[in-house]
Amino acid sequence: MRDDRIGSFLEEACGKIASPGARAAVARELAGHMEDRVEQLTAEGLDREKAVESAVAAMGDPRELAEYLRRQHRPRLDLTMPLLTLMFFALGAAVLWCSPEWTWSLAERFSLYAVLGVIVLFLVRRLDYTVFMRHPYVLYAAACLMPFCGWLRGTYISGHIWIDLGFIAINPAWPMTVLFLLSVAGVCARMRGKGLLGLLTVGGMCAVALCFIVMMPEVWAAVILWGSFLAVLLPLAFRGHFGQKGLSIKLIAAVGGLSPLAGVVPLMVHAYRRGSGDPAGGGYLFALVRSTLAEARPWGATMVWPEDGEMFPIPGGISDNMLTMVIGTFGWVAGAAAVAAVLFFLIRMFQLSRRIRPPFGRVLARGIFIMFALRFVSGLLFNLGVFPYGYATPFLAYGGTLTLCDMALLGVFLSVWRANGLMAEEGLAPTGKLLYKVSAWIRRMLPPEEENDQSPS
Amino acid sequence: MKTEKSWVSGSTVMLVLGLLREQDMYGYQIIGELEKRSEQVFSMKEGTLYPVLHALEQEGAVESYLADSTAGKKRKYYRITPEGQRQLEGKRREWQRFCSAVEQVLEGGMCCEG
Repeated sequence: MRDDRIGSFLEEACGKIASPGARAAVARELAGHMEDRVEQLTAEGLDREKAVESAVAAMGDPRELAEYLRRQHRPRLDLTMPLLTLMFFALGAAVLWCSPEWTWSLAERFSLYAVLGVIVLFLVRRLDYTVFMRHPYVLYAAACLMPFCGWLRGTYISGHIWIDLGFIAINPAWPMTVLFLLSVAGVCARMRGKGLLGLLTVGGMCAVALCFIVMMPEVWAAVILWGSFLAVLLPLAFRGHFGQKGLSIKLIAAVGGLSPLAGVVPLMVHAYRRGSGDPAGGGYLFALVRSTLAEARPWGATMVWPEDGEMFPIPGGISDNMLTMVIGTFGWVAGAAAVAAVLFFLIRMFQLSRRIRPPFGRVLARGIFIMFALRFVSGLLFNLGVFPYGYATPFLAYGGTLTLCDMALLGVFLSVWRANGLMAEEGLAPTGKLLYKVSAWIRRMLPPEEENDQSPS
Repeated sequence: MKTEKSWVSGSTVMLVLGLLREQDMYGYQIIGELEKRSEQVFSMKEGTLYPVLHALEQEGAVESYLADSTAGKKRKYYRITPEGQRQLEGKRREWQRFCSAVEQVLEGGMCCEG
């Protein structure tokens, strides 16, 4: 049973902590401390009332402590990456404006995705990211259901499945990829100390996820997801996260983790041959990218509206090829600057991910960074005419499902970074501000003798 | 005898890391050990330990986990990390230099060897 004076002390000492979750966790820890002190003093013969008084006094001035705790548990803010994404949107708008295929409907579509992307980023950033650790199986099941929606309700366009939602059409492959990454990271966290069974469970989930993505069929997405899984799983297995540090578990993790190579390499070779050898079919975009880049100059536009019978330039609405469009519209120097900006974004993300301390947050941040880094490689290879298929370089797109997923992933990353300054992960369980206030109000209303539990959360 | 407050607050991090190097502990246990081993010299306002522990956790010098104590209660234990070990060694060296410098000024002798 907790005394009212302890409750009042906790409210005052923890009241200035910005996050309700962190506030509740710190209050729990301080309450435990004071209860221990009360128990010790009563065991020494002091009556409870005096013991409580003494325990509260021993903690010090609650206002002074509140100030220390407020400074200690401040949410962290990073503006570099969100500002860079806005700059990428501005670049996309400029390219679209200069494109020979400029239409108001393209501009409307682009603006819609830009606005939706910013909303998604803002909302996800506010989310308590430990929800992915607490409910990974729900996310995983949702990701597994998505391909069936695509197969049943979607339409194949340019080799991708699209589900028409009325105002936008989404390709389920990318939301699936994001959900699979988040859920597998969450399952990894839950399998701590579970030994080989834990590792095999996570490995099996990764394998099923990759099979689904390959069947979509999205080979590049599968490669990127696989790389992200490795970034999450292998360091954990090698550092004894699953409770075993022996050679056998490391060997199983390494062999199991690298085994998809046997399937990925032939699939990529096949994709390359099919794309590069068939400019009129699957390699249509690849041929356009190459012809655009062949004409490009260091400065200025080289893309011209074609005469009848000539090859069309890259359609302005093709989201994945914005980097090629930047080079064709503004020249190689502008393209290099755009690539440098994305690279700067990735370096910033890498730096921040190295400074994240909570274990699950660190795993999640690492997985997200690798996913963006592999997307960067895929985007460069595709947009620079090296590989016939690929995706947009991160954020260099005129919207689309990929942009929304990029913004959601960035939101998760920023949510991890934001919470990095708050509290250890066990303290981040969602405790709404409203709930906190209501429980505090109820405590104040109840007479002290009727209180059984005065948990501040 | 009362100890200068700033000496206690200035050495809290080193003392906490020193205790955690021996075994994982929870906050109340740390306070108890500090008082016991220093014969009440390091008697601080107990609440101020937690901002210190949380700062160390954010720096990566310690990490925490929830576990059941011998009394059956769930407690938040702190464990020193390799980064914390490095910090502790640095602070110990710093402390020894400071201590011997003070001693040399006052008495011309050496203290705090090893």
